[in-house]
Amino acid sequence: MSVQERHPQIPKPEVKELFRKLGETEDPEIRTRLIEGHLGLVEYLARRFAGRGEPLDDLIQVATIGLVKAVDRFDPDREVEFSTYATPTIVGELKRHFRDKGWAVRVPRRLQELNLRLGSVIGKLSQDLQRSPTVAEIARAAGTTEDEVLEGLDSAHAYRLISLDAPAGEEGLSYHEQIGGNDASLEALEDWVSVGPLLGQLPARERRMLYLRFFKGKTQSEIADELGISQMHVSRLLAKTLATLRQGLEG
Amino acid sequence: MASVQSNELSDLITLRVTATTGHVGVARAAATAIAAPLDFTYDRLTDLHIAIDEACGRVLATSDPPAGHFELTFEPGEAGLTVTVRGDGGLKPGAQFLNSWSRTILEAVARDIELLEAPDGRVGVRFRVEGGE
Repeated sequence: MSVQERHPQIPKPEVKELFRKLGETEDPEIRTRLIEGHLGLVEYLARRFAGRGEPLDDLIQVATIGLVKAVDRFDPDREVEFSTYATPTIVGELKRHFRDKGWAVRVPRRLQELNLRLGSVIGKLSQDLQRSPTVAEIARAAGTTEDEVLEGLDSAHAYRLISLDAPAGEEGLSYHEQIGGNDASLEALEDWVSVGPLLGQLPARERRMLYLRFFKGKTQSEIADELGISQMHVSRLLAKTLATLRQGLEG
Repeated sequence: MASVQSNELSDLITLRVTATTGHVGVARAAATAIAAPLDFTYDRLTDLHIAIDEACGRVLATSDPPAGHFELTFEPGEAGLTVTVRGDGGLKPGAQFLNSWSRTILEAVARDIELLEAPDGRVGVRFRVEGGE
């Protein structure tokens, strides 16, 4: 059963009326009704932030906090619909969640936002140019300086990597489940004597990335296309995986 | 932590940075700043990072006595950026500076890979990363 079916949307005239009553009576039941009646909006906005490494359930919880704040602060005498008022509050809560929780190392907010923006700019430019873009091209497209782009790209290393067991999309399947089974090429890679045992412990997607990049000579852009993720994500995962292997070999 | 010298005649830039895992990022950031004006694509910049990570990783793994510093030189040229990475320690008895795995990684992301051995026993590697597709 969908959220809409569990908690049907309240007709707009009734919303205004309920807020007026809430203001007069502070009745907790009315407050709950108003919150539940807008959970559809919460879920809709939370889904817009899905696929960035945070489980949808967590995003819905965060967005619900934004909704509760909006219900408590809304003034029914204002000439705006509640949903119009609540949307920026909910989105603000979601953005704050990514800023505060999504980064393992504290990176200035300006760089976090730039980094997220560069990810989409690089993806789009790669499509348009049919090759990986240069820093100058990225800067032009992002409307910023080359120095800013370099800073933004360097800050990528501080971004927390997505857990492979975390749900990857709206279907709730983990990356592991989406990757599928082994193929013969991976077994060939695992024969590599010095790192074989360590490779065996890696998630399937990381092994596949290593195989494609270092044995098949695919570029990171090609790997990104093949796996359906961003180039920046491929770059982060490769660097992290190589560091893990290096540590394992030395340990 | 780090010192940088630039010889304007040859565009050779040398960087000396404390040899710890945490300071590899300094070498990586310097490499990015030097490579970006050479029109390196995003893919090639990340290849350059991988090569530097690997070479610095080998300095840490194979040095005995342990290296105090990474010594890097960057030489921009028309065919990309030539990078030398060495430690100032010695090579562990029986160790290979590049094992088969690290050589495989470097060969995938760089060209003209050359092992360096100084008369004083310091070892390192030189490689060139091309800028374009």
